[in-house]
Amino acid sequence: MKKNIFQFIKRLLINTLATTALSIFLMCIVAIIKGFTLMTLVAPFQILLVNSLAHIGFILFDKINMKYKIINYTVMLVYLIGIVLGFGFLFDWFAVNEIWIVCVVGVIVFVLAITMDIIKINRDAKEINASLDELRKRKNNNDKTE
Amino acid sequence: MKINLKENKNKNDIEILIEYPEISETVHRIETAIKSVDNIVRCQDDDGKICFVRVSDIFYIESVEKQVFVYTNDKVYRTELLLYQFAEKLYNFGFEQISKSCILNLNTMVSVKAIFNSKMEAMLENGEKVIISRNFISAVKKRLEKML
Repeated sequence: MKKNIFQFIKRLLINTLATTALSIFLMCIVAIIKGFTLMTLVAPFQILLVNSLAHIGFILFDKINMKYKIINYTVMLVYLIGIVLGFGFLFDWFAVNEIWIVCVVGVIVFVLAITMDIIKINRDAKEINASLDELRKRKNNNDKTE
Repeated sequence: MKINLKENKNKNDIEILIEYPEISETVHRIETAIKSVDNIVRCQDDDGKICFVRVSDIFYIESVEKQVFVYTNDKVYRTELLLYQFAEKLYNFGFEQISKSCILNLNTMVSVKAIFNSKMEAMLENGEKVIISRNFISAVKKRLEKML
């Protein structure tokens, strides 16, 4: 059980840090395009906080089994946009960036994260199926020898 | 692998001797498989009658609202043992925890399919499907690699 809790915390930390890095990277690109040269020191921490809350929220949504995947993704996206807007106003992000730009960055990070997740889970499923095939082959060979 | 069966009326019980050139994972698996034939779990059927289920016949064990159920090919039994007790007891028989509430006999798993929210759906030999939670996927993967 402890092993699984450790696994859960590890995955949460990795995912949060990965999406935070991606968000900062995208915001830097936006800043460069808009001709900004400076970034406030607190901004990365603000982005980290929003990303952490997003992931915690996604874990809670994970507990609710919705009938259609698309509804689940939509709810997650609406939640993400909600916290991005809420914290955006709180941290005054929209004084320097338009609301839609921040929202688009949020959506890009969300889509990329979901895509990566789907790729990883499919790869894991492939590996497990390969192991199962190999086990079956060995079992069949043993049966034939008998 | 050669298997020799010999009838001996002087024996009171079945005796099994495994001869091998070198100890290997396969030898351990054979030993475990043989032991599992004799391993039984005390359960209750629908009528509350006590019955004993062979470990090798169990497909998966699930906890539902503090009640633990043992699923075989076509039957469901209730048991008084707790899920974590099964996890410890049956680990050497190819059982692995696949979610907070389920322990699966990996020998009954036919294939897996990725589903929504990074979970997997495992198809069993009897056509039943069980969900593997994402926190348990790497454990299942490692366990299968170890079984090879």
